[in-house]
Amino acid sequence: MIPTNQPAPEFKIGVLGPSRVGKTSLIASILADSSRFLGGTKVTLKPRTKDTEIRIMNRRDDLDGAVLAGHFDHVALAGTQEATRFDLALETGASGAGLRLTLLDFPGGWLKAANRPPEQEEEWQKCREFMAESSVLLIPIDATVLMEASTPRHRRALPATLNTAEVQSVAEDWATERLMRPDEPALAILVPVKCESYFADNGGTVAAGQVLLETVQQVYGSVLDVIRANDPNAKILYCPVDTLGCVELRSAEWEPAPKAPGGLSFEARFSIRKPAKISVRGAEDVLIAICRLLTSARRETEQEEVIHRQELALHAEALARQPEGFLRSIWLWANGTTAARRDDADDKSRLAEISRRRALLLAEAVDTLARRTYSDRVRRF
Amino acid sequence: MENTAVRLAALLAARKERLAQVEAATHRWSAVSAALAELGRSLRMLAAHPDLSDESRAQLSAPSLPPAQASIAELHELLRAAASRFARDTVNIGVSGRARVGKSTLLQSISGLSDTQIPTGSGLPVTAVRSRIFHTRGPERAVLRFHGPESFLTEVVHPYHAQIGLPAAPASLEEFRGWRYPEPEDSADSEPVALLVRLRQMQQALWSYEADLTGGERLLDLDELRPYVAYPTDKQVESGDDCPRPYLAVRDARIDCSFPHTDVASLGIVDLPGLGENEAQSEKHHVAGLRHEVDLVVLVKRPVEGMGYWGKEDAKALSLLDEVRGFIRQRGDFVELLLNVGTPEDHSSAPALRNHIKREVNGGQDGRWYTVRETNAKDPEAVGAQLLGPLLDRLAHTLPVMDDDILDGTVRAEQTAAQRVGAVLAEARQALTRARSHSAAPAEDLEVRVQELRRSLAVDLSVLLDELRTYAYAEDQDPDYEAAVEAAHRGLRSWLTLGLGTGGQDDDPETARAAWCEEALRVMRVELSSGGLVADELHRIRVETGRHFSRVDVYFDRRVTWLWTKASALLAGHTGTLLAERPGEEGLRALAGFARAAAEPCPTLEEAVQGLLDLRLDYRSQLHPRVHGELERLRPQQRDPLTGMPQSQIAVEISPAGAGELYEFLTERAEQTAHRTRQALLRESMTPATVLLSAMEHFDDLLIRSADAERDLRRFARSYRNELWPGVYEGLDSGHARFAAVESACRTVQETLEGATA
Repeated sequence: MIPTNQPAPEFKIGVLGPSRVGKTSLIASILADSSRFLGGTKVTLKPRTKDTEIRIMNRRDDLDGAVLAGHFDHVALAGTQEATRFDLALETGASGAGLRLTLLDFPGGWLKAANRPPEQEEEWQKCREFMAESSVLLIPIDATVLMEASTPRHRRALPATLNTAEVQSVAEDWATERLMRPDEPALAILVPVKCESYFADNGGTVAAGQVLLETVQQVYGSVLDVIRANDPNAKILYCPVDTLGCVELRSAEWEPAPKAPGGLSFEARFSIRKPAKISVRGAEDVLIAICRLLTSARRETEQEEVIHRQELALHAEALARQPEGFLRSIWLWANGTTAARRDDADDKSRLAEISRRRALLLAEAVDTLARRTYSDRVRRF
Repeated sequence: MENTAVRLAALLAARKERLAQVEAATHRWSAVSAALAELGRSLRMLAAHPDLSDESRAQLSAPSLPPAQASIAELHELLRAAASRFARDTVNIGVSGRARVGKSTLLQSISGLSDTQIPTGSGLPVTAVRSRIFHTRGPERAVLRFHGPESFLTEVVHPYHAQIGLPAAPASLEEFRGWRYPEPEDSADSEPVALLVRLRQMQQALWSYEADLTGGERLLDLDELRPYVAYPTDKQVESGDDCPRPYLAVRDARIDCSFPHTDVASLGIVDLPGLGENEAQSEKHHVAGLRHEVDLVVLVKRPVEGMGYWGKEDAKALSLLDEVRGFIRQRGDFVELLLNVGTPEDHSSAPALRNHIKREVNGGQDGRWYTVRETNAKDPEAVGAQLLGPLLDRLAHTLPVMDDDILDGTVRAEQTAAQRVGAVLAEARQALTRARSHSAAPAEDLEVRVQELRRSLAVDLSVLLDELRTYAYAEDQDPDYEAAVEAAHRGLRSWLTLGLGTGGQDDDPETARAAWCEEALRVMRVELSSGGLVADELHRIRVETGRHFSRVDVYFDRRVTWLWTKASALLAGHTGTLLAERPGEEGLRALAGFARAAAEPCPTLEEAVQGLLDLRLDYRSQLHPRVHGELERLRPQQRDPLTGMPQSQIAVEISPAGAGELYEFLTERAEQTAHRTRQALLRESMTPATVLLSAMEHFDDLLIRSADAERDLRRFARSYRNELWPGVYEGLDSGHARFAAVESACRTVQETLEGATA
């Protein structure tokens, strides 16, 4: 927990994808891999709340069980049934010098209006607001569904299976909102998951990374287009992730969907690759991307702060009441500027010292992560 | 004279080069002659076509053809004569003269033969058979060539009948034997009587020579020769009507003997029975023989009673010899006169004859036209000195001149023949053009129909191609193809779940698995390793995977058959009755056959159809290469994608658990490969359609758009227009073929003529 006299602002990350695409598994993988990734540093990424911790542990148990069972049945995993927040803490090891990352995972089925229960409509609106406030939008994509669509019939079923139209709609809202917050950077990350069968860098034998990239560009082309159209400054990154690493596609079937006449449903069976040891790959790229975004935002904030101080004498009252952008709020909170503005009578020197120390530690932690290089899988769109 | 002999030998050798020229010309003109004959036949065939007008028919009769053919026939005769002349290994001197001039005596003096071999006589004619006598240092002998019954009747008997005026002639020896000839009667015209007498003598003596009418040759000693070359003696004649006459069976005789004049090694003497007094029609035969056989003729005269002047028969004989001379410019080069002045009486009569010859033959000037020599034919030495020596010496100079004359003459004859053949060609082509103009309506109509055929074929083919393109580029996959791939995949899955193919159809997977594991464990225990088993099983799975997926060939066969059926039906719709009742592949094969067998070649059309028939679509050649990589995953060793090093896929402990683990590994790997192969095949779904489209586009290009497409279609239409447009051109098919035949014949004549005159 970050002890502070003011609550740390949330760094919101929207997670946008249909049911069973593997959103929770992705978050669990990022967390699981972070201990390896952050090994040797004082930085940790941990569940911030008990609720989050339980959820993550449950998913991990599911995945570990599948690995122990020797096979992995994609369709058998239960999808998320309600909107869930994952509260994570990126901690520096020093008291109060941490960052609160909140990821919202909502039922993928809600992307389709027809699938949304009326009583959840209010919750859905909150999800959309959360998305709008997120500087980072994670779009998990089921790589297996994309790559195993071999016939025109299969390919026709992709939009319905991946809910690309709904993803596009939410992405459009997000990008539009981002444009209205010009002081905040925007980063959309397309994250193909279950990529183990298409890369040869993590125990696999097939190198089809390029085909996957092209297929993502083709199928998600309209999503990319609406993001670019609505926020030309938004960065778009492509980070394929092996959520388990030790699985390999055994077979896949497109069968008539029992509840959707003319539609198809996709089922895949995976084998567990020897040695049956989970080996997440690509998750660190997502963290690096987030940290780079934070570093970039900090530098911009610091530059702006110089200007603020120069104008302080003239506009002290006005500045104190000025609302801050989200990322700006994080860094201002971190270095204590906001508090200083609001209470001139406080002991400025004591608070300023605490804030400087806290800011320094956090900046160091984030910068350390941001300096890491992306893996070869990452592409910028 | 020895020097003369050497020069003559050199001349004879030089003649062989001329022979090669003549033979080449003969060959070329034989080709022209054959082409001309074919042109004549094709013109007659065309002229006989009922659709042609009388005017066209008259023009097609080619009146200049017979003269041209006669020219070539004459040229051939000249070339044959020249070839005979240049082919000879001897200088041949013909000896001619009326009976009783001492011709046989002269022959004896030249040849050294005796009276028992070549008869001489002072009264009756004695030489009955044309003989050729050659000098030899080898064995002396005679070769007789006999008549067969047919040639005896046609060349000997029938001319008598004709000359006597008998209305019919015997067709066989039997008829001749029993032929009832009239009794000779006195007549103002004694010639028929004399001929009748001789004919009856021949009939009566048939018994004596019938057996010799074999048509073959016989080798005789010279002592046996006389009865076959000489008339019977007076004594034999007087002995009765059955006097033997074996000479009647003889066509000619060749005698090889040693001439007393040893320096005339390459000399031949041709004994020519007296010109102007031979049996009926013999003179023509005689002249023809002379043309081929002699280089110079010595006409013997003797100043005996009744012949001591230059008479009508002598002039006739000289005239005949002048014909034989042919292209030899100087008649005196070819004929010399010899006065046989052997007896004192001859000497006393000689001046008168000499003067008469000077006046009648040489225009009052000795030797002006003809050389006249004198000798005693009985005296071999005198003959050598006064006749042979100077004659051969002169020949050594005149022979090459005469040879040149003859070659020049044949060249002129070739030019004449070429002009006449050219005239025939011009005439035939003109007639053909006119005949065509009269039948232009059907030809134009055919051209219109061919263009329409091409257009309509192009339209229908484009419709079919659009259908194929839609199919090839459709977003939707051919459900049949997908079903075929899925069926193959299901079959393979079923196979691998039943103990990797080791279980029976009625086994459940668990039973099959258990059986497999048991057997696997046994194998591993024997081999003390799992490596061999893994390799064998992976290999077996790989083979079985390929085998199952090759079952999509059933689908491919259906697609190819579908295309053939479509193409065949399309073509049948434009080809009248040609492809009726021949659907699909049979129709296409028939069309290729028709193109091949057309009167005019249609190679592009045949290539187009054959190309479509050669279309092959199968898993092994089209798709296997695309899934090869997937099947490679079933190799016992794989290369690490990162390090490139080979690594074994699996090794298990030798235990029931190890066998189970291996089974899981193999089924997993097999299932994975089956899935990936299926996916690869489904992704290639456009390949079959693209192959069909490409094949049809190629067919369309060749049939409609290639450089030779229109030409072939036109040729095809001309060849099969009755079938293509039934009822429209009845009767004209043959007409067209006949036009084509004349055109073809004209081309051949033109080509052979150019070859002959090059």
